[in-house]
Amino acid sequence: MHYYFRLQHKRLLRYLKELGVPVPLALLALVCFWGAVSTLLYERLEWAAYWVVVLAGTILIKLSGVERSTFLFHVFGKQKSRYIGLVEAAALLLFFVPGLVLHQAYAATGIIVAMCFLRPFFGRWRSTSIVGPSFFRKRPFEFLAGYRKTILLYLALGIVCSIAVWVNNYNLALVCMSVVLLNAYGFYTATEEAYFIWIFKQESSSFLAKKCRDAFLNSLLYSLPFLVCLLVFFSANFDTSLFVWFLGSAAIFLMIISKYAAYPLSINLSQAVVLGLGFSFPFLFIIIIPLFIKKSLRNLYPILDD
Amino acid sequence: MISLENVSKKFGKNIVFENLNLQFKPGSINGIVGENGAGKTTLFRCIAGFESYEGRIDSHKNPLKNHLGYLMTNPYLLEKITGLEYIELLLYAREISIKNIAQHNIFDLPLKEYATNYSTGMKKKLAITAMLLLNNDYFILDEPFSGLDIQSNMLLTEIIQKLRSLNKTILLSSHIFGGLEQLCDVIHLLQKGKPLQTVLPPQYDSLKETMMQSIHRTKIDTLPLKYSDS
Repeated sequence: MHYYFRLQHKRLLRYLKELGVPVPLALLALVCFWGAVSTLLYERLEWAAYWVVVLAGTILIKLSGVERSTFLFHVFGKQKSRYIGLVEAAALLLFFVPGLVLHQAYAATGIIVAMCFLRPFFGRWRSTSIVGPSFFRKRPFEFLAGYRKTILLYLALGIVCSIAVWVNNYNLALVCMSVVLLNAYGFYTATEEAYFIWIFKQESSSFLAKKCRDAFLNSLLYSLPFLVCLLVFFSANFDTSLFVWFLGSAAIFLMIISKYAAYPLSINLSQAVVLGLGFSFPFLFIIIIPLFIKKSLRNLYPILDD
Repeated sequence: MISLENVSKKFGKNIVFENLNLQFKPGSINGIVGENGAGKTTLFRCIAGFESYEGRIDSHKNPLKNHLGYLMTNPYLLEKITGLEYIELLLYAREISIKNIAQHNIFDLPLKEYATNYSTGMKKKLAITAMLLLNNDYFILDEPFSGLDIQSNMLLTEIIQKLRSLNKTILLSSHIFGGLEQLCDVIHLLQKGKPLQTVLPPQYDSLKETMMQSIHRTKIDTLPLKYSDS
């Protein structure tokens, strides 16, 4: 079983190497990034600790995937696979608990500790086979699959947004719309198999334009209930609402061109740094956007045009 | 017609195949055989345009990839997408409109269920159904029979024969020699480090014999297998 953890350690190092930077630097960057994000989260959001609980829960669900759990169960048996689950949960705790304790979020800490230590004693997590309805059908598959995967989050945000309207809390409603757009941004983070690009009839430039157009139209459809809610019930802040919506949509566009600029690899650290610089100094996007589009077209060319 | 002229493929210093010259004619079934790692799938990926290569690959209809149906050994499917939506996605990508897809469901698949929940054989049947609806002229079928039940194997054999009668160009690989023997107009044997061997139906028996002789039976004895008492 110790070999399993040594193997996981090797895999982790390989992932970090793939980011294209030295391993110690990647680890340091990861710790600093998480530190900065969590500080910002705790400072800006009233219920930050519970968002951290949601994040930890999402990672736990990923770790409890049926294929992975079945593999561990068959290789190591019931007891040892539970032990592995506990060790992984403890590693997860190391990541989240210091921040929660520092911000005196003891209830959230309790929930995370309970989730992590009870998880291995429950059955393997099975994703539902119930086919949920979707507005998006075949075009584009990112929204169709993403919407179904996160439908509970979408509904929860809808409820929170309704409460925000009821208690006249503009910021909360705005956060709901931002999270919806951020979620749509996440639909495009995964790198698809080359087959799902190859099958398209278009040339690379038309393919990329179509991807961006579909993403824009569908993100509008996806966030429309929240945007309308903000414009109708908080009409005095319509300019801020539209600006935030525009930022969210622009981020999705940036995600698409960044993804194909790195294709067939995942977005690497240097690209993430360039994007981060762009968000800090937006005028840099005048250079970044054409550069990323050029790189995307260069990567798509061998699959679609060659 | 698909023609290959001096096509070579290397991964770093590892030469997969070198200077292949082949012609795949319309209305023909071309078998590609070889051991694991001989380069069958790599050859298919080069023809489809997934891999770069040296040499020339030409086709009557261009670009080749827009007229090509490629059935992979393990078809890629997307999470949270139903069988029907998978077919719709591929039709949308190829700008083809079919109103009643369900009536073309030749394998009676549960098209309204998530495709990732399908069994291995059902996933392959879905990929075959989608590929057949794309109105292709060329077909690459990489291990099309693996994972399919006997009835579906028979149905697929008939489908491939129908495609030949419709003047389609078919490239086929399989590890079941019987299937190839029955279907192929010509078989090309890919062997690592050796020139390509092209075999016509009268020589299929001698090809089979050659392949049998290359099996390293003595290696079985190196396995630490023990007699069971119970």
